[in-house]
Amino acid sequence: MTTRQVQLAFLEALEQGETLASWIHRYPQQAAGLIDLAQAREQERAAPPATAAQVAAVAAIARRTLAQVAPPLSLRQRGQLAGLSLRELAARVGLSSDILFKIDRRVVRPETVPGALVRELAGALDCTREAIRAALAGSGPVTAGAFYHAAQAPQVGQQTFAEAVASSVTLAPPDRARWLAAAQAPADEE
Amino acid sequence: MPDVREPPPGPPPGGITGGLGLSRSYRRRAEVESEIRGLPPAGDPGLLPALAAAQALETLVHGIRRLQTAGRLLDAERVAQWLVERASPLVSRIAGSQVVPADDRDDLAQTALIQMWQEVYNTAPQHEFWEVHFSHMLRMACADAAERLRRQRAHERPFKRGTTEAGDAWSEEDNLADPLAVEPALLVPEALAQLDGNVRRAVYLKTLGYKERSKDSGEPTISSLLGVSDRTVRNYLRAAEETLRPWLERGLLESRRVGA
Repeated sequence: MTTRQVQLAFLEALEQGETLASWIHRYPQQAAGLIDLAQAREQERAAPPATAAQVAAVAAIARRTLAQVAPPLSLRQRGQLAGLSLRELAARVGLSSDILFKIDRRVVRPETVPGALVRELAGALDCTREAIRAALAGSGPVTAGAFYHAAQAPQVGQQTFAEAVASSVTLAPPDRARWLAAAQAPADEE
Repeated sequence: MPDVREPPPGPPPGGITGGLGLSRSYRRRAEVESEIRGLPPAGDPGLLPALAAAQALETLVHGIRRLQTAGRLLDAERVAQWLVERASPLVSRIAGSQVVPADDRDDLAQTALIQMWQEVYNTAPQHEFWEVHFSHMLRMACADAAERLRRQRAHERPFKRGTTEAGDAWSEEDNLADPLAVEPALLVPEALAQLDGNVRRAVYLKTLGYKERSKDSGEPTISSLLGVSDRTVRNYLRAAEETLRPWLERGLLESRRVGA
């Protein structure tokens, strides 16, 4: 049996009233781990219930670690989780949907997306900035699903965020000025 | 003295017979097994509502792994968010009960949760335990994280101290933030958290009522359980007393001040 199997069975046995000594007698090489588990289990039983603040702190850690570990979702998928289409999400953060579409498809180079936008997207999608950065990350533009009326698929060039903002025809002038300023801001303003 | 080298017994309590989706012969609790068997297949749109209504945390873990295998990453993440909401009180309780100083609790929870997510999202057979007994796996992950933290702390160098040219004493310890006020109810666990490895284990075994030595060779003692000599156990307990005495005196004073 592996260490995990022994420890799992030990925790189960503790609940059924078996003693620590009998298990150390069976698995002397795992004595330290079994004693630690028994001590923590006893403290868990004696501890007062966790407060709402403690639970909220742990939930925040759980969400943050989930964003680090889970396979990254695209902006579109994160929007679906939050019940927002890309168009609605663009409206929430004061951006036009064509730019957000380019960002989601990585036509805009992820490293040029300003921290201010990452922060606003994280707020709108109720997730961490790391999760947004993971959603934006990728090596090149995603063109799957596009239709080409040519023998060969055209090369899709990447843009910087500032170029995408400058070339957008649907972005309102105040928003354009705001995002161009954000694109010039130092990267650590996230 | 009993022969500790006898072969391990057969299946442990709670062992053996298969479960749905388990590649090995682990046994889930009956109510969990029936809940998982009642889930629709991975491609069925009814799977998410069924998982939303599930009672057991193991069912949610099974759902994440099933959706992940089916490539439904978005739905897997949705179920993971439900797991966060449902399991946070349990995680908080289990992480809070580990024998580490209060300052290290957040680090401990973070380490244990990273391990949890890595193993829940990894569909390899050796990580199936999470859908067999979620809370026990969490206890083991927290215990592993606590042990890692204790080892890190054991390798930290002591604070540097000295005197300035003007003759004033200085210490790096003065630059630390004020220590957390310890609730009187948590004073004993917090005190035990100051002890290292076998010293702490010896004290814990003593609190359980095990003796330092016994005339009855069949009776388990602290030394037989830890696999060390009686003299070593005496040294452990003496070291524990030396560590705990000033700490407890300081803690008691603090708790009186908090109470006042």
